[in-house]
Amino acid sequence: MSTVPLLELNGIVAGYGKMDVINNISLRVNQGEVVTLLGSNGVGKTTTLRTILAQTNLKKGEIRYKGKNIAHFPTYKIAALGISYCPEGRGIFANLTTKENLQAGAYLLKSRGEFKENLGRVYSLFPILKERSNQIAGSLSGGEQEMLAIGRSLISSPSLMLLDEPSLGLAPQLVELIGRTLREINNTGVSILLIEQNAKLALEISNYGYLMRKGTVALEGDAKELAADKRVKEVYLGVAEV
Amino acid sequence: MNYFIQQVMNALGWGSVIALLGMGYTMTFGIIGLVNFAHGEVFMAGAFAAYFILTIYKLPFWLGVLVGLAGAIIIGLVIERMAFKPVRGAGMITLFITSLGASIIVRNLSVMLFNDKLKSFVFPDFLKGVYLLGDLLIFKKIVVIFLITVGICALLVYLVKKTKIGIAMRSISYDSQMAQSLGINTEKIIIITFIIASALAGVAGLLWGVLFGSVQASMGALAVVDAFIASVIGGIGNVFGAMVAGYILGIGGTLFIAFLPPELVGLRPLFVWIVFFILLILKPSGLFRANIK
Amino acid sequence: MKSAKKITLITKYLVGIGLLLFVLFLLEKFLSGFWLMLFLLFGINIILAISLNITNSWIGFFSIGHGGIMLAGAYAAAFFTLPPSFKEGILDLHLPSFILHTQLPFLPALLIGGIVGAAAGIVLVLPALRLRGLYFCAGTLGFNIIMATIAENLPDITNGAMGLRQFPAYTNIWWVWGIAILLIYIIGRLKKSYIGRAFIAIGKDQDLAEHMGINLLKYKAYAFGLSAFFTTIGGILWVHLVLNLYPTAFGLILVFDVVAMIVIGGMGSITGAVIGAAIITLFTEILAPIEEGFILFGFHVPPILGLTTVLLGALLIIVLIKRPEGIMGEREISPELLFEKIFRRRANLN
Repeated sequence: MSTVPLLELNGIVAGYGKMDVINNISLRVNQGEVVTLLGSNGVGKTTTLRTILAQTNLKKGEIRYKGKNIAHFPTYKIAALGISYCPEGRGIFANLTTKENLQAGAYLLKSRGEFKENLGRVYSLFPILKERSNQIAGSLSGGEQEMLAIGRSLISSPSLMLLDEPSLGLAPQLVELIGRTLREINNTGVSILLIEQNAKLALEISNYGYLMRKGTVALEGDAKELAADKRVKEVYLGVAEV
Repeated sequence: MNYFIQQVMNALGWGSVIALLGMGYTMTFGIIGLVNFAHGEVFMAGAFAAYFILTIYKLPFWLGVLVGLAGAIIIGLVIERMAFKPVRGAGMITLFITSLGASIIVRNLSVMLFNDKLKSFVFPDFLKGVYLLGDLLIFKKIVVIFLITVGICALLVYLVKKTKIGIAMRSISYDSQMAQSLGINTEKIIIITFIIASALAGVAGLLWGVLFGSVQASMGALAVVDAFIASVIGGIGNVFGAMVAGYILGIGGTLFIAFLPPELVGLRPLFVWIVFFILLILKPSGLFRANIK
Repeated sequence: MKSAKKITLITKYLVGIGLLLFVLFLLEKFLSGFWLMLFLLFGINIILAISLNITNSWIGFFSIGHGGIMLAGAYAAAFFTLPPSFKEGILDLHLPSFILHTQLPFLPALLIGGIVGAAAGIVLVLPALRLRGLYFCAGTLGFNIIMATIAENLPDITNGAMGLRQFPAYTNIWWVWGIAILLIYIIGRLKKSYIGRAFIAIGKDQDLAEHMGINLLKYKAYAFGLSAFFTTIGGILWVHLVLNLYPTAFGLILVFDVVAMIVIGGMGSITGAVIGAAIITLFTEILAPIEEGFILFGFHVPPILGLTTVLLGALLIIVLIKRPEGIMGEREISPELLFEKIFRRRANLN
C-alpha cells in the first residue's frame, strides 16, 4: 500500500462560468478505499466529481493523482491515467448497442486480447449484459443501463472509479446488487469515489466519508462513525437506525 | 421505355457525385452538428486542384487525383480552423452562419482569382468511350464513377460501424463530453472526420470534372444544397442513407427534367426542394435511421 | 400634476418629431449623388434589419428566406407602378388587363406589395410550425431559391431573367426615412407591449410560452406577417431607387448582408439593428468603388469583384468569435436617455 493518496483534492474552488459551486473542497482517496460524498441536493457533489474530470471551470486549488497535479489536463488525458466515470443518469450512448457501449469504454485498451478478457469479466459480473449485447442501449431498463454504465467504466481496467448516484431510480433488489458489485470491484483493487443519496448503502460499503454542505466539506470521518453520527442522519430524514 | 432507362443510366453519374458529397456532409453534420455550407467550396477546391494538374500542366491522371484530394483536404482544414474551431460548441445556428461566411469568402475569392467561366477539364482516354447494350448507351466513365462511389460507401460504412474510430465518432455524436470521459480525444476525431469529408468532396469534384468535362468557380453553390438535402433525406449521420438519397436526387432530378415541358426546364432546382419539403412533412428524421439524439 | 407631466411628454415628442422633420428637410435640400444614395440605402437597411429581428431574434426562428419574400412583394408592387406603355407595349406581359392599364402612386403600390409579401411570409409559418432551428433555416433558404427560380421561369408574367425596368423614381428621403422612423417607433413600442413580450417569450422557450397561454400559431403568424410586410416595403423602396428588378435581385448576398447587420449590431436590439445597418451600409458603399477598380498613384488597380462580400464574411466570422452577442447584445438605448444626452439635461427619469 502506497503512502501517497491515490487522489487528493486541496482547496478546490470551481463552478460553471462565473458562478462558483464549490468553495474550498479538500478530500482524499487512498489506494484501495471506497470513499463516499454525502450531502443534500445542490451542495456541489456532482460538481466535485466533474472537476476531477476537468469538466468545470476550476478557479483555485490542486488535484493530485498518484502525486501528480492533473488540474489542467484535458478530460481525455485524465481518463487515460486510469480514472473512469459513471455519471448521474448513466450517460450511456443510447444510439449504440450494449456491446458497442462497452467497446467505447474499452477505447483506451491496446490489445484485442485485453479487450476480450475484460469483456468477459464484465459479462460475468453482469450476465444480463451478455444476453442484451446486441440490443440498442437506449432500450435497456434502468437497472440494466446502470449495469452497463458500471461495466463500461470497469472495462478499461481503471485504478479509480468515480460514480454519481448509481442507485438512483432503482428497485431495492437492484440497489443491493449494485452495492455488492461495487464491493466486489473494490476487492479487486479498484478505488472508488462515490456519490450516493442512499447514505445507508453508501456508508455500508465505504471506508471513509465526507459530508458536504453549501459547497464545502462540513464533516468527515470513518464510514462507521459517520453512520452513527446524528448530524449525518439529520441530513437524511427517514434513514432508519442501523 | 428505353428513353426512360437511358435517362436513369446517365443520371447515375450525377447521382454519384451528390452521393459522395452527401456522405461527407452527413458525417460532419452527424458528428459535430455542423451544417457546413462551405462544403461546396471544398468540392470546388478538389476539382480545381485537379484541373490545374490535368488541364493546365497536363500531368498524369494519378497525380491529378492526388493533388485534387490534397487540395480539398487542405482547404477543408483551413476553413475548419478559421471558421469552425473558434466557435466550437456555440450552437448550430452560429456554426451555420460562420459556414455561410466561409463559403462566401472562398467562393468569391475563387471567382476573383479564376473568373467564373467554365473551364474545360481534361481526363484520360481510358475513361472515355461507351459500351453498347442493345439500344442503350453505357458510358464508361459513368460505370467507373458509380463503382467508385459504391465502393467508397462500403468502406465508410465499415469504418463507422466496425472500427474503433467509428465507435468513437458515434459516441461523440451522442454525447461528446461522455466520450471524452472514456479517453476519446474528441478534437482529434473531429479533425479526422473533417479530413474524410473533405477527401470525399475532393473526389466528388474530380469526378464532376470527368463527368461534365468542365469545372467552374461557383460550382459549389448548387452542389452544397444538394448535399445538405441528401443528408437530411438519408437520415443525419447515416452514410448509407446519404448515398441512397444522393441517387434518389440525381435520378429523380433527371427524370423530373425529362418529363417537364421544355419551357419549364429552368425549374430543375425546384426538384430537390420539393423532395425536401415532402420528406419533412412525412418523415422528418430521414429515410434511414439517423445517428444523433 | 399628472396632466402637466403628460403635456411635457407630448411636447417632448412633438419637438422631437419636429426636429427630425426639419433635419430631413435640410438633408433633402443639400444631399446629392453619392451621399444621398448612401443615406437612402442606410434608411432602407434599417427597415430591413429591424424587420428581420422580429423573426430571427425575437421569436427565434432564424429565417434566411427574406429574399424570396421581398421578390414576391416587389414584383407585385412593380406590376402596379410600371407605366402601362412599358407593360403592354414593350414587354407584352400576360397580366390581367386592370393591372396592365393602371399605374398607381407609391402608397397604394407599397401597401399592395407589402401585403403580398406578408402573405408570402405567412406561408413560411407553415414549415415553422413543425421545424425548429436548423431545419427551418434550411427550409427558408429553399424559399429564396424557389421564388427566384419561379420568377425566372415565367417570362410571360415577370419578363424572366431580363427583368423589369422603367420604374418611376418614387423613392426619396421622405419615403425611406419617414417609414424607417415610423418603424423604429412602432417596433420600439411593440417590444414593450404584450405582443412583443409574447414574441420574445416564444423565442426564449417555446414550450414554456405555450404553457403560459400564448397561442403559438397565432403569434408566429403575426411575427412572420409583420416582419415580411416591412421587409417587403424595404425591398420595394430599393427597387424604386435602383430602378430595375431582376429575379436575382434579392439573392444570397443581400440576405447575408441583412443577417450581418443584426448579428453585428446585436440580435434583438432595435438600436443594434440601426447600428448594424450603418456599419454594413458604410462598409459596402465605401468598398464598392474599390471593387470596380481605380487608379492609385498612376497604377491602374484592376476590379476585384466580390471583395466586399469576402471582407464582410470575414468581419462576420470575427464578430461571432470575439463578441458573439454583437455590439448591443439585446440592450437598447432609450429615447429618453438619448434626448437628455443631446440636450445635456440631468437625468430626470420620473
